[in-house]
Amino acid sequence: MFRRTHYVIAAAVLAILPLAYAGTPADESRTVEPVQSAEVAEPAIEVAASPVVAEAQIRADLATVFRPEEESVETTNGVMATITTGEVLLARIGPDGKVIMACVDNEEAAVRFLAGQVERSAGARKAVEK
Amino acid sequence: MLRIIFATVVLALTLDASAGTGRVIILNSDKPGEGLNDPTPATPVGGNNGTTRGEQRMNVFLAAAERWQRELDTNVDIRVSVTFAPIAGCNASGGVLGQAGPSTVVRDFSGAPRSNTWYPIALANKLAGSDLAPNQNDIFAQFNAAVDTDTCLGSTRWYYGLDANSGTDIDLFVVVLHELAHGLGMSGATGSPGFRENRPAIFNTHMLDLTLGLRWDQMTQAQRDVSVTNSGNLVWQGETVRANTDRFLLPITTLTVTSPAPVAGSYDIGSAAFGPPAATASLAGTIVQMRDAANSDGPKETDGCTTLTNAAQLNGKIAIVDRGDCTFVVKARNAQAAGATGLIVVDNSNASCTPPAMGGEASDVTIPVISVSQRDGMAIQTQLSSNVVVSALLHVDPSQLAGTSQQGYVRLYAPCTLEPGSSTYHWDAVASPSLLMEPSINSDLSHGVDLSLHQLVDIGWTTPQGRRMLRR
Repeated sequence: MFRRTHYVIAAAVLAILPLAYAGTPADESRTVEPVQSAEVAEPAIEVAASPVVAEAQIRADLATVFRPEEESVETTNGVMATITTGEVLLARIGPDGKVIMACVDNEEAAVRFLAGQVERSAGARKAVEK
Repeated sequence: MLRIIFATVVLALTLDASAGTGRVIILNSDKPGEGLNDPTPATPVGGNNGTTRGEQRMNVFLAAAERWQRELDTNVDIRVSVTFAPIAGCNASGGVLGQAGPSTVVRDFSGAPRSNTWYPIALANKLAGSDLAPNQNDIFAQFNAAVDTDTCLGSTRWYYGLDANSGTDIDLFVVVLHELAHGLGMSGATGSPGFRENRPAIFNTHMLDLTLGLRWDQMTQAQRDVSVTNSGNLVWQGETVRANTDRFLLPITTLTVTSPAPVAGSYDIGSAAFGPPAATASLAGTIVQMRDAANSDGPKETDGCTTLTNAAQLNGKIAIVDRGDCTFVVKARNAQAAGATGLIVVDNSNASCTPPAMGGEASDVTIPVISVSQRDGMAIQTQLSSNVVVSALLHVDPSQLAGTSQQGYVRLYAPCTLEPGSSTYHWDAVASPSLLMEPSINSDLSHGVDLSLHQLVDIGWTTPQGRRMLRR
């Protein structure tokens, strides 16, 4: 059941992502009508049974965020490549109960951070610890 | 002569008219009832007058877009596709807050300043003077609505106010400013330190490794693999940032070891929330290792958690102690009771080269308390264990700014032991005051764009104030 839920989540996010990246006509007033061109499954939120999150579970969750790179394409306006993963902002609760954040661009760094292997992110210098 | 002047004025007006007409456009890509369309009633907060959660989220995006639009000069619209749906996997202990970046990177387009170099599409459009990919958005941004539930990060929420008063919540405005900057060009064309198709992104051409004396675009992949963890020595090479650094960073407070020669030099320090501020503290002398009994309160003889066994040696000296096993305050009180003039806490983890901040409340602690990284601290302790006298001085160095190298370059984030590939597209966390583009969204950030704007100018953006803004 748990695994099946993740497949639903992955399918839902993958269905949404093309909508997010697809071209949408610019609106003069900046706020535009929402894109409603496809029905997608309701994304669900998993609740961990324990604050200690297994690495395998983290990797499964991150699969929808860190996606395989795409090949570049030659166009009349230059060689272009679609970016499939941006700079990913993560948060976790630190030893003192406060939020620690990190901004990473690869899955390994994200897994390490979320699994707590990196106890203190860069910003922890300015955080309050015990 | 008059004809030349007239032609020059007309040309200038024409250039001015073509510049700055582009907008930063937020495109709502959420489905009805979700994310930016969330109808949940919300009370206006911190200058955000939205009355639903969706409206408030959109207002924050619009405010951040307006900020970048005001700061940057382009004649091509920048389209930002935004979703604010829940992202799977966030639970009480952590998860993904969001992500953003350029939707597309492009190289060798007409008007590209450098060949064989990837540019984010928004910047490429600006440099080309036209929309190179009119059917695509320029930046994508995906944020996690689950933060507004107890299941994700517990009681922590997005803060939708526009007044920089987020408290313990996460200031969405700052996060969006930060993430949009990645989309505008503070990013590579693939995960660092890799290069897409062995070609650099324009950002990479400004990354200078002081150890090698090479920029990333001049290095091999093997050299970049090392450079990405060369903490303190990977810096930004760009004239606009360099010319404006002193407007945003304060002089560094540093621990300078004056002898012996093998460890002489300046060390980054972390500060404590108690005791006198390091920047105003007066501290100079020789360093002595704190020693106490190894017991249940502190299993190491160097953790300083219980009554000291060498108190007499510490009198009038700077104490040094290992982090861990008890609070920073306990260590500080023990050092102070022994007559130490200050305390250096050595980090007990090499997960980061950055000395930790130290929390605690102790109005009775009157000696300065600072921290150093494990690497730096162990170098000092190694000398002490060989009975070598180590002398040091805590002082404000007016010749160097906090977050810069000794050569005056602003440091990039290159944590010494993190996984290769951790994002270097940020400033080093030692910058003080905090900068928008550090890898963590620090709670003391204002709503400004600080050196980040100048970094964007270095890669090719211009501002309404001038096509090449050297200083303003």
